[in-house]
Amino acid sequence: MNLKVFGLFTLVSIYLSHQTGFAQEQNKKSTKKVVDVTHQDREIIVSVKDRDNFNLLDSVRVVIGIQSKHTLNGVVVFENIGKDSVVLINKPGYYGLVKKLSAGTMQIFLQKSNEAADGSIVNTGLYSRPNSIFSGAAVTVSGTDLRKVNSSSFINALKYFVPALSASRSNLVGGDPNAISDIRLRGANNFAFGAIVANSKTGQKGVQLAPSSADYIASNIFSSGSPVIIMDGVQVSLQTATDFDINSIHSITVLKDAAATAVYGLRGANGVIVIKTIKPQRGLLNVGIISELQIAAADLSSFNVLNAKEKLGIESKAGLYAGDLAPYYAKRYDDAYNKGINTNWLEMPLRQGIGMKHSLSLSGGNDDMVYSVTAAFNDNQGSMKGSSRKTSELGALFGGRIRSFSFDNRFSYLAAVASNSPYGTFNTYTLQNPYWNPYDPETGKTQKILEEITIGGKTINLMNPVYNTTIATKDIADYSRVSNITNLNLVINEKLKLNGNVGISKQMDEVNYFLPPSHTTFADVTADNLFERGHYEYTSNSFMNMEAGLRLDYHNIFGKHEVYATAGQNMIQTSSESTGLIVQGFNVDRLSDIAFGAAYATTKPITGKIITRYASTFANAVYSYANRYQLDLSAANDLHSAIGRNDNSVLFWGVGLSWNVKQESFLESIKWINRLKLRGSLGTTGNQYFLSYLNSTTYNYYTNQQYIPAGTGSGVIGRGLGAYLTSYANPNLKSPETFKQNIGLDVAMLDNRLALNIDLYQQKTSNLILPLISDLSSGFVDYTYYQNQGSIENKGLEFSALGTIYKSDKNNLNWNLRVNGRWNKDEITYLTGYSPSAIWAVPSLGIDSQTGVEMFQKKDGSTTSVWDANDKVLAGDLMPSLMGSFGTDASFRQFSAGIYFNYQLGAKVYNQTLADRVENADVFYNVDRRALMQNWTNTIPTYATTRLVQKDDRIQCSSIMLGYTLPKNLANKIKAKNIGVRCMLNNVFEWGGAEMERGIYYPFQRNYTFSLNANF
Amino acid sequence: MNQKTQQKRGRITILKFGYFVLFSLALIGTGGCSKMLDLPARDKFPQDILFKDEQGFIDALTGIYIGMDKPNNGPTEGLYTNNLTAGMLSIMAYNYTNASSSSASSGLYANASRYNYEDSGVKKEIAGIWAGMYNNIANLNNLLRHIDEKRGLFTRDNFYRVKGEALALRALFHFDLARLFGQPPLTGADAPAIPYITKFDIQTKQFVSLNMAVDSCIADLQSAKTLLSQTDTTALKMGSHDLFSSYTQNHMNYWATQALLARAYQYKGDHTNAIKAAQALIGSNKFPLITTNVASSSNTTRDRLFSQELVFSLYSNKVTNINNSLFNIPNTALTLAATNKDLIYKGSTGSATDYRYISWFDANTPGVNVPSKLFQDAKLPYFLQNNIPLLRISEMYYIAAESAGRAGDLGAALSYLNRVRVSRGLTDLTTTTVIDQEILYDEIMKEYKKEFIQEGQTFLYYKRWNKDLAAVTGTTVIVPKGAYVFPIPDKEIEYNH
Repeated sequence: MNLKVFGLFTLVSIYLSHQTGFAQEQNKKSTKKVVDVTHQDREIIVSVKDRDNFNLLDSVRVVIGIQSKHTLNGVVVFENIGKDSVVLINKPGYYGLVKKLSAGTMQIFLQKSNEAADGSIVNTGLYSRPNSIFSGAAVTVSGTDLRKVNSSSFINALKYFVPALSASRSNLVGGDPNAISDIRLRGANNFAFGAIVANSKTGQKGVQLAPSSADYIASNIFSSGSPVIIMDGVQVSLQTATDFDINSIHSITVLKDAAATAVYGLRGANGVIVIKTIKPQRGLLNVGIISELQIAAADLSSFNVLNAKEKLGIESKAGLYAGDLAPYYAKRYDDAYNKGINTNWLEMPLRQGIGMKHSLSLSGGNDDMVYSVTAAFNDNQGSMKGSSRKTSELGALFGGRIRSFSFDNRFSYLAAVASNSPYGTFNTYTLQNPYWNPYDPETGKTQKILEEITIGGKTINLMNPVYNTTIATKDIADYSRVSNITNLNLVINEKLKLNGNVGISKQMDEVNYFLPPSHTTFADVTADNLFERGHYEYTSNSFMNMEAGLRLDYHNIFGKHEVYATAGQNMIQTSSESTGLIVQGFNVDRLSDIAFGAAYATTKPITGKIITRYASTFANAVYSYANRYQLDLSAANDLHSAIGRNDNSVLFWGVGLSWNVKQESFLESIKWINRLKLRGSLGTTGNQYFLSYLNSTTYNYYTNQQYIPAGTGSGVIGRGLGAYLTSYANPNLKSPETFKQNIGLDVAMLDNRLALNIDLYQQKTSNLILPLISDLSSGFVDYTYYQNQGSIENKGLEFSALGTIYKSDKNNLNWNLRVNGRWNKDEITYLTGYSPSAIWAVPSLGIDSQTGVEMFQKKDGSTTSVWDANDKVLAGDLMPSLMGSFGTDASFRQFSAGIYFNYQLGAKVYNQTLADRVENADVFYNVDRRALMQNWTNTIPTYATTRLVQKDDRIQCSSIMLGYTLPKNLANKIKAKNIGVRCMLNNVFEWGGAEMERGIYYPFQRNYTFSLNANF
Repeated sequence: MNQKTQQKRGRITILKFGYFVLFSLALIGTGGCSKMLDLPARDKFPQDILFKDEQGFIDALTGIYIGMDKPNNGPTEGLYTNNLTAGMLSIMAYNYTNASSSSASSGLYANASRYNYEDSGVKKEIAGIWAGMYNNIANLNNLLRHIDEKRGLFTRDNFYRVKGEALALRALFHFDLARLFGQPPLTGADAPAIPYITKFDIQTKQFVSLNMAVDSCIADLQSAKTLLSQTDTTALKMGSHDLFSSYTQNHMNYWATQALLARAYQYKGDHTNAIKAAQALIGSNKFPLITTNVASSSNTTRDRLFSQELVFSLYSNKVTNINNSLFNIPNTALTLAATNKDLIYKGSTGSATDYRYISWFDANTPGVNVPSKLFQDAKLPYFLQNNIPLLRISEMYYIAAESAGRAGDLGAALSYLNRVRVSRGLTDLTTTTVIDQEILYDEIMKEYKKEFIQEGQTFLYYKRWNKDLAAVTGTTVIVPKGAYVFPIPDKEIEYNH
């Protein structure tokens, strides 16, 4: 690897050294010319070029004295100039310049003031192309638009704009600020890792037990549908991208089809999300401040538990007090009815989480040098007490330019502290009986034991989960991450550009989890094992990522022909390691330090170390004829350390075609159509998210056994260590391959006030890496052989419509409406032909009104009351068939407002609440209110039945936003460029959906954000 | 712009595009470096690294010796240290008369004593034996696959030693699998028995007949013998250059290979070759029979295993655990009832003077009389500890005796048998009592019963003769049909097609 990096640098320097000479030479020539001109006449020729690509710029306003002219073919000529000594140059979209007037010909370069975030340029992360000639399916969303929808989670905001993106939160983790969504683009391309683990030890072999949160390889193995996230040119994990300040996002581009992702080769199958952060602004000093107040409140609307009196009623009805528990009824009755105890356990662990977020940016610079320093602090407090995620961030960017060579270096430091609530999981509280009092009635202090009962002569203590918060219970994960990205650019001439980049990032994580000895978990530990109480888990892990890339860009126009081409190479090495240990035997409750432990709870610490290497050589070329017909060709030749040795290079390709129908003469006259483009693509991409080392046969040593027949008796010294096989290599292992097809239509009409995009896609992933279940005689007992088998297909249709209903420059009046959606269907095309997210249940014929027993339909059509797993049928799909979003926003004078919705249709869900909290509920603990209707004489438990498979069609109001910007003149009075305030509500409300508890371990939450944004 | 400049520009453009193409090609070219993809796995040993030196091969072989005790994911109770010796096989030979009421290992031994192969515990354990043995074989095959190309790495006689022992172990495992899972040789020598696996890969292997399996064992053993004959065969019970070539009594050494050959020939019914191999061992005088009761309780170096007679014993530091869990416990210890014990040792041609009768049964710590052959006190010299006998010289005398008998030479047969009897404190048998082959074979069986108590070989002896188990063992349980044949594990049947 070092050699490779060195090689890249050498290449860069070779080009550089040559280039410097070349550039100087050119300058010499022009000086000569200047001399010639000055000898002839006192006229001045000004030629203006784009700094980035050295293209001559037209329509640049050039002012000398009282003369004002515009460039034509990049040149403007002035005559009869007075004594004026300065020239002013101005062009919208570029930084203005004032230059000292010099004699003869002046070469002036203009710098673009901001990069387009409107999607007119598609930045694939590896190259940029004008959208008009891009044949792929890609969406670009500006950071400003994202922040209008959600100012804390870019994924939730992006979901609104990109219907292809689904970001689902597990119903278990709910609104936990320390849990991230499972994201995927265009459906499933892979099986979840859990489903493909063939034996428990595999987890230790290919992927670490506790990888760093920055380890994107590991996180993509666990969340196998996740698209690749590229941030400022380097790959990051979703967690890393989420922890970065959303205010620093300039734009996000989502790449979906083959034409857009084929150059990503082995990484492209799940799609790519390219994040660009804001570049510094020119000027002496620009200061940007954003301050936010965030409030999180739990949404308990899906929870409906019984109160004390109801609970006692249902207990007696269910016959709880018939046996051993009979003596406790009177006491409980007294508590509930006479003492009036009715504890709202659901509220016990909850609060209004009040957090703050501050971002500060300082930037400045001129044509030759730019800098910026950013700092951000985000204290995200969750709705459960003690649950929070705090991130701090520091960034520094420095860039410069020497003739045609430019560079920038971006350094960033990111740290996060994720604390989980000492209250434990929320479902503990939904179970507590309301007639139990968490506080001692005498002293008012938190009591440890809620009730002591004796069943069959055995005393059972019912523990108070709140007690654990009074001792040093600890559950904290923290990390710090440092990264540096260097970009080097060399404009060789107006047609060729060379770009090199090097990125290094390193993250160190630590997880501390401590249950003190008097934690309720250890309530049943007997006196003999007293010194086994207490449990401290400590995990330390780190992740290091090194990337280097070199690219050459080419652009040329010959008459009606236009060619864009890029070729380059990327190399990435990741190294990930973790060590975890568990210590038990604590006597101290109030100090949470591993030092107080007695011994390891496990025989030894668990460790894991994984390195991967990846090299990709890619090229893309676009040929456009008269801006009408485009041919887009991509290829990537990839090498990866986890692929089988026999053939470790994989070739991926993509072909795209597009037709700008609007450019045709027959549409020229139709003025109400502004854009009409048809595009299509097909090609292949791969997936690198499978276990490492499946391609090597490995051994391990017996660590606790020796074969030492002679040993001490004879004085012969030696070792009798033994090694045993731990894996069998698959030297033919290939990367899974996704064949993508896409047809799209882009329309803009009525003066660009209505834009419509439709994409029809089909993706088929074959060569999935799955375990081969082998016969025992192969000796594969302790390990599993993985091979390429099986395939998954998904197809669907995406649409997106954006309409400007009203637009007027007067009063800044603007009203937009957006509707988008996606139909999708996933199918495992080998073996089953069903969706990987299918729900399986036995068809129910309803409850027999006579007997109260549920009747089922057997496979052969007959009716039975006996549930049999073999009768299971496909009962629905967890994934919706149609999902998307709609919303509207408007602005008037200084005000702006927006409301945004997400919807899903055609999804089914197994109502786990009805199963666990009603029908199979343990009435000893609190239950869902619907259990009041339950016939408690029926003792047959409810197994998977279609009766509980319910529709989960939902509309969620994901965001309501109100904003106000201070008028310019007022802002200027306090020397500010602009000042704005905004109020935002996220996850406001939800309609529809199955009536079930949502947010089992952590409730979902509503977020209120109030922000102040000022620039000076 | 005139035409000339335009042409020139065109040419320059083409030239530049040419550079671009060259650059792209250069990138693709440099991408071919596959060495950077060969990553060292830091938390495990890739085989390339392990097999880089001689020690790696030795370690891989040592791993198999450790695996003979209990391979990863093998049977719950262990292979040669338990199930295949003192555990399941001894129970099936009715060495412990109270096994059917044992609650040890969740009733595993009780079910095994009833030959209840349908019991989920027994079934799982048998599947574990199968899987564990084949796991060891896979380890051997991978070692054998790499050893020839790395021959240059070896010093002294280590190449012959490692390869020879590996081949002999492969034969040992297959032979035991064939004996356990195959039909009794008298009735099902040509019935499919086991797959004989000589390659480490994912291909499923065909089952071969018992005869073919034993033939393959013999072939492997012959190759092993040739290789091991080139090693130093003297350091059986003494130190040598290094640990690996010392105390080779604990290895599948040259002599053990010969002994196993004798056993395999006999199992196949090739008595001519069986006696040749047995005689080679007897004639070597490497393993002299004991002449006094070295296992006597008055002996300070109490040698219950008669260790000088051991051709191959497995080292295992778990022997004490096994004793403690099965025999050295108060109420649930496995015992051999006194009547059964007396019948075996004192009945007919037996005698209470038999050292084995005197010294192989002891009161355990809680005071229960239990089979104590494997008790190895911590105070004993190191070489008397942690051993599980797998091949012993007495069996060679029995093989020689049986083969001589089959050849019709009763006198020679008795002389082999008598040498063991005398060594055990019994009197000579004469042709006056042993008048024909049947009586000879019966006397040999009696010896097997006495000699191999707690070693499991008796059960396999009965199987070779296809004896009526109930009759020869005296077990009180109803012996089901097919008790001699371990069932092939479901997972093997399901996926081996």
